[in-house]
Amino acid sequence: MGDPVGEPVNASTAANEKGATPFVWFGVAIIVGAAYALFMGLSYYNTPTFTTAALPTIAGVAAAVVAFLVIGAWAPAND
Amino acid sequence: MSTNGAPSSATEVPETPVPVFEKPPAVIRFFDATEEAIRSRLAKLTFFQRVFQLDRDWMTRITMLMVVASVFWGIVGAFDIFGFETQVTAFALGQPLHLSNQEIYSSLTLHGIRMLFGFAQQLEMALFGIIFVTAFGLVPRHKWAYYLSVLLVNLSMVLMEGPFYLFPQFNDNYFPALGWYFYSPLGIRGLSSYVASPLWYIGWIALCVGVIIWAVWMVYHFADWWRAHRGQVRRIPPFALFVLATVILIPVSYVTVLASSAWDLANYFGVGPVDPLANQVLFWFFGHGIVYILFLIPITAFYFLVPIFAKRPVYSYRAAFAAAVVFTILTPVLSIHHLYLTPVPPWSAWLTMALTFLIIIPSAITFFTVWLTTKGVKKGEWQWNAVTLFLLLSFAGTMAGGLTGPDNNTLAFDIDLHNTMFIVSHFHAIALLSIAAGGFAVVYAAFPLLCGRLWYSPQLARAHFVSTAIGWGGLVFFMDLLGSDGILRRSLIYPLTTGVVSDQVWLMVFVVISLGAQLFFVVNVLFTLFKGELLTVQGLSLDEIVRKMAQSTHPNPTVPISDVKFERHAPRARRERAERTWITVVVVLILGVLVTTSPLTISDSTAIGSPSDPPAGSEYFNLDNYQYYWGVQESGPIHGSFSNVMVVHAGQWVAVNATASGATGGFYLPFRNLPTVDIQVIPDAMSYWLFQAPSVPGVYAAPDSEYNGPWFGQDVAALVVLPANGSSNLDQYLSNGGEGDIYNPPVMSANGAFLIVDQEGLFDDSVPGPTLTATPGTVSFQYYIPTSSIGIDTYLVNVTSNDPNGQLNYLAAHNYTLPYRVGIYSINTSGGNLVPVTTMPLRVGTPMNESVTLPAGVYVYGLVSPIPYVYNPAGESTWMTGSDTGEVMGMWGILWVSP
Repeated sequence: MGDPVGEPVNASTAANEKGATPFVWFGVAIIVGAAYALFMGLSYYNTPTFTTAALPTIAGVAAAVVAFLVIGAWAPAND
Repeated sequence: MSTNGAPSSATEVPETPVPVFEKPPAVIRFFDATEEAIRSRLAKLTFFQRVFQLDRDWMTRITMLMVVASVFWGIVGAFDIFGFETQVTAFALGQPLHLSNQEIYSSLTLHGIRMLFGFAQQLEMALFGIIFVTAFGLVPRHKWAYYLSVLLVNLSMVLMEGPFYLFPQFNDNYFPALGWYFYSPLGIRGLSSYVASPLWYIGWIALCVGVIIWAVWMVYHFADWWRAHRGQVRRIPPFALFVLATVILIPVSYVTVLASSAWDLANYFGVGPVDPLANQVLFWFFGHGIVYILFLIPITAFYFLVPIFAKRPVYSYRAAFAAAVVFTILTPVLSIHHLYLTPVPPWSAWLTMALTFLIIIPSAITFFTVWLTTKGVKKGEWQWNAVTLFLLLSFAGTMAGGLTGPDNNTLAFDIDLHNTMFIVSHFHAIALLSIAAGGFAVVYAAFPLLCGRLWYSPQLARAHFVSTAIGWGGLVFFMDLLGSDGILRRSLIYPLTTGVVSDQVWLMVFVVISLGAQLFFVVNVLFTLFKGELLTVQGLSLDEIVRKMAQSTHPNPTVPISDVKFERHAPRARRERAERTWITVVVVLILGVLVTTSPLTISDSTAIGSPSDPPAGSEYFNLDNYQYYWGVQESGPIHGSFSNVMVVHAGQWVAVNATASGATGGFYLPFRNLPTVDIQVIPDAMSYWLFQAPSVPGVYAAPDSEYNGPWFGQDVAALVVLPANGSSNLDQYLSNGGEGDIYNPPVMSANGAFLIVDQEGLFDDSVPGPTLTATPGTVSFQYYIPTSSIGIDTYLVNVTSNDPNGQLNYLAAHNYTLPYRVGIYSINTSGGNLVPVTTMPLRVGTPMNESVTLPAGVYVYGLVSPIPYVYNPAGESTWMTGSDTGEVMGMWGILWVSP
């Protein structure tokens, strides 16, 4: 605890590291959060009004999440 | 120019903003010195000066004071919910309760108030204020206006608690048992049995005035800056747009709660017209607005911090600008979705639903834009420190909480969700996983600037993140599981099924983890204040300063903090095409959902607001929700007058006409195999509903779904569904799970039953008490009220005094016999009330034996009339301090006799 911080590091070495980018991690966060939200809605699947009252909204949300990810993947990078 | 407008070494980006930060404010200039110089200044300071930064400029001092005050209210608010949840869990586990109902619900109210306003709102004001001043290089003026604002906000927290007494006995936690908000006319003298102190309303007014003063101060300084820089500035930094949105939304939203508070205060003193529904509509213009005002914390954090750590500008400035504008326009007009189940005009319900769907658009723009801002950043260019980790959590949390918003917003679906723990889960997903997580990101990025030291321990910061994420995630999840079962929010009394008890215990576990997790943060803050490495900012841009502060939360930093050269390769047209494509898809989906759900929305809202045309042979329920029981007048094939008992034949249609005498209530039949029934009933208004009773005879519980005071947990009715012809046992009812109504009382054999009354005055921790079954003939069972269950908190012995043994002394003086009778009553379905079959005096400490010969039929047993109740500990209840009276009926049940 309390180690010194802020020392200079080699920028070019850091930039070349392999692994998941922040874009991927934020995408995973979206998927996890959205999956949970859909689970919350779908947990009412056995109610008699589910198809008419709930399903259109839940389907809309699910479609939006898919579109979000697809368009995000297709969009040009921020550089 | 840096990604947020501060000077930097990066190549100029044409679309990034301009000369903010060209004149660093005192908060920055202080650190623009050598470490030796800073150290020599600090050496002269005492402990108190160090904590409150008394050697710094006034803006830093007041900001530090606000941070300390907000943390204080956060700790007190956490203690409140710990108190509430321990009692709910104790009830679930059959353990003794150590707080009165009034204290328990006060804890819940004060938890909401302190967390939302003392903690979150004040922290937002502190952080936005200092960031605004820092980023724009402002010279803050009119410090007494700022001080007055902070004083009023914190004073309001004290006032809303109401008066507290040290003598003759300590009492600080009884008067504001109102839910986290007030819900007119709950709490108003003369209109509600539960009366709050007028200090509650005065506290609200103080809060409104304080926050509005702050917003005006911010607008004034921005206007001053704008005048000075007109013509030089092409674009305001994206995050600042959302700070501006906040300071615009605050007065617009707070003025409505200022009006409703003043109206309530006038009503409290018998002045002015009374219109509970209009008052509630007015309040909810604020109630919705405040959520978005606080939601702008993570939004601002994303726009401020993600570009800094990505070392590149936001993906699309114009998209961010559009999001800020749409947020600001739509937020103030969305109140009525909190009142879907009240008799509001159907067109207004539909319009609110449509507008609420539309507010998805700025959120959709924001999260797409922020996400795309990181696209192209390599792994090694990004550091997962406490700031970025909390941003990631906030990103996921906003999805988890935000994407359940459309569920609530769909009126027909909302009938299943309204007032259940689902809403609490949704709210806490937003409040904790989105707002608080975003808030922590800002705190980790900004606190060193306040205290002048880098974070002491990256390990503590990481432990804080991990434990917080686990605690909050689990907490939200188990709240949701309770909601899926149909469990009501703000409820001390749960149906004690195995699943519900288990979920509640797990919820308690995650509450403890969530609270314990914050200790890592508090310890780190304390060590940082006194042992953290000194912060110096010589030669650094604002972005570099932020990265440097954030880097101190990473155990092994590998990413340099310096700005880098950034050159655009993707043209704006291509980036904006992606944005437009995304928004087009969102709009199309919203329209599709709106078209699909509109017919049911209109028909449901119409059914609540106006009487339907029921089929021939329907039963008519005229319901009046009192504090704290249901008055029932029936007409149709069955007619009679009952308390908490509603009788109908299997499969019969029921037309409900309902209102409230006292506070707002709710008629709730949480079926899962049949359509849920849930309508809000409001004084001076009539709510309607038409539904078909279950085709299976049985006892279906109908709790009051809207909190109406500290005894609302006892406010549960029973829909007694009689066989259409002849008699029927409960086998089919049991096999289909009572149509999924989680509040149905347990079923047990009458003969040999030994019903024990608990501390809340319920048989076997259930209201209604267990449904007893027997065959025609002799039926024998026992009631028992243990002496240990009697105390100041029991409605059965209405003695309140300084003497802790007052209730027991009363019992001894009256030979342990209370002035009520218990017994077995037959239900007269052809006019009249309950007809006594056998009754006896209500005795305490001695088992009471029932033994009677009964023919087939359905009976009510126990105490079948509401008991008048006055809560007045130590004689402190007055119109000025608050009071609680009412009629409580919790010790009763149904006896089902069939071959």
